[in-house]
This record gives sequence, structure tokens and C-alpha cells, in this order.
Amino acid sequence: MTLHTINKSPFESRILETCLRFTQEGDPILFIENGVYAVQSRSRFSPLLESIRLSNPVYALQPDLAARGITEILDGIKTVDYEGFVDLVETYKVNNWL
Amino acid sequence: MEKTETARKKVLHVMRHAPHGTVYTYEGLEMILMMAAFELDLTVVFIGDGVYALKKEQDTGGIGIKGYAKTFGALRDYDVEKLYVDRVSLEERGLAPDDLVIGAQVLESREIGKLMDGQDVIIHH
Amino acid sequence: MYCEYIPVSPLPAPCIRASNDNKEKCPETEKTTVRIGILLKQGPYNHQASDTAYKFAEAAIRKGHTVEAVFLYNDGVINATRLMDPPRDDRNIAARWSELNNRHGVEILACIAASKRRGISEDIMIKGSAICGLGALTELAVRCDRLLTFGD
Repeated sequence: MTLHTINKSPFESRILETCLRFTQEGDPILFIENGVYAVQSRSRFSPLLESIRLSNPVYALQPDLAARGITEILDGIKTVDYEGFVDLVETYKVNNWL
Repeated sequence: MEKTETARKKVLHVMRHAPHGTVYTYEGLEMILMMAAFELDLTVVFIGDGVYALKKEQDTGGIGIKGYAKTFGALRDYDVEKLYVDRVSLEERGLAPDDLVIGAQVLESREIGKLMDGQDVIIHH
Repeated sequence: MYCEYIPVSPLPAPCIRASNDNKEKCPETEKTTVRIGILLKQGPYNHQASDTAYKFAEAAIRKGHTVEAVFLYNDGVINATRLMDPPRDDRNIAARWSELNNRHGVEILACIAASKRRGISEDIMIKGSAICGLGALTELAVRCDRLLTFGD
């Protein structure tokens, strides 16, 4: 399995939707940098995230959430710090979508 | 160093940007050409605006930037044989395989997903 | 000095380095160690990529993994100029890379073609960095368990 990272706001870039066409079931997805806006509660992308979560584990980088004042995130999204990011990289191969 | 088929690392280059607007495609191509000289199992896929890099009839004379579509067309001469284009990306842009400088194989997203899954290293450009 | 490949200097890592595609366990802690390479494709300050790459490298080293090298490509080569002089209350991104090299032996390698294009040469580069050919990146991709990309 492969870890996919997304670093763009879904409001600015279509990369999340593009990435999802290529992920395999069970592949973890980690949102970093501006990508973390995808996991905030009550956004246009909340339904999409809810459906991704059914087939893929979803993570968000906590320091990036905190830096952007995102305190309310969708249920079932796990937050990780940089060490958690490293753990994911240790476990899975990586595909960094830029 | 022993160079056996099994020891070859599988490296995938994902072309994602339209050409000329940013340098990513051009410097990505330079990276691919350089890596082609090494014992790697190299694959290149064109996704999203990356498919525009292959469009025929590019003429960069007027913008003062060197064109390189022809070099993509010549990748096979550098033993880069595995060239794939995402069908959805192509169709979204109203393009057909005939519009491209190379006869890249058109694949479904699902097939490209499987291809990605089997790689050791993936680099987006 | 330009080089196609620079051998990695010995690391003060407590664990045996993992071999290619065969993660090994550190005999002391029984933890798996991973050899990591980083490809950085964005310049400093404009984008968070340099910061994320640094924070990731730092955390990986803290966890006992080996970060073999940071390879700078595209505008990423600007990360290695020692002419950087940010205000005192801002981080000095170049100095941070230099320190990572000094303290943990992480090679900071800038692609020669990308550097020449952008006016980056060894006389203005940070201590501990070097200009290399793309062969060094290929070699890094081959010997590491993971190659991560940070950029825009």
C-alpha cells in the first residue's frame, strides 16, 4: 500500500479529486500544508471526505491544522505530528502529489 | 554493481503540469533523460494538464522559451519505453491520441493506479 | 568541486543502516530503521515545502531513521545559498540545512543544471552542501528505502 500526501487546498486545486482516481482501497491519505483545509468541518468537501474515509484511512498533519486555526475537523480523520508522518512513511511507500 | 532485472528499482515520473507556464515539465524531462542512462525500470505517465506536454504543433518561438515536445517524442530513443497517458485527462481536454507527439498508450485511471501501486519511487513534475 | 556522486559521510546514527528494500532492526532498540532521501523542488520562503521537508527530516532523525540526503531541484536549489539574510525573528532556511548536515551528516545536494540556470554556484553555497549531477539523485533513489518529494 502507498501513502498519498496532498498539499493543496481543495478550493484552489483539483489535485485531491485527481489523486482519488488513482488511489487503491486502503491506501492512507495524508493532508499536509494547505491540503489540511480539506478536513475542516462543514465545508463543500465534507461529503467527499466522508466517503473517502469509508475506503481509505485519512490523516491530517496537526501542526498544519493548528497553524491555520482549524480546530474543528471531520469525524474519523486522524491527526499526526511530524513523527506520525515519519511513522506512516516507515510503514508505507510514498506518493507525494504536488 | 550487479545489474539484474530484479535489482532494478521501479521509478515512475508523473507529468502533471502544462508545458511552458512553469519549468516543471522541462526540468522533469531533463530528469527523465538523465535517469534513462541508469539501470532503472523507468515509467512515465501523463496526468491532468501533463497531457498538454505531448500536444502536437507546439510553437514556442513567440514566447522566447525553448520547445521540447519533440524530445518527448524521442523518449523511446533513450530506451524509455513505458509511456502512458490517462484517458480521462485526455478526454476532459478534448484531445485524442492522434493529437499527441508520441504514440503513448492510453490507460484507464484504474490501470494507472495499479501501476503506481507497484512502484518503488514516484516523482511528480 | 563538481561531482557526479558524493559518498555519504558516516553518520552518528545509533543504528545499523537499513539495506536497500530491506528494512533492518536496530539491535539496541529493536526498532525498524528506514533510509530516507528527500527531493525538494521549491525555493525557500515562497512555499512551505522547505519547512515541511526540514520538519520531516528532523522528526525522522529523532526517531532513529537515516536521512541520507536532501536533493535540491527546480527552484529548490535556492535553499542552499548562504547569501540568505532573513530578519532576525524569521528562520534562516539555508542555515537550518547547513546545521542538519553538520549535526546529522545529511548531504545537501543541489542539481548542477538547475543551479547553473539560477545562478547558484559553490562559492555562494552553505557549508556542507555540494553541487551534483542528477546521477546523485538516481543513486539516492536506488539506495534509499523511501524517496519523498516536497514542493508546490
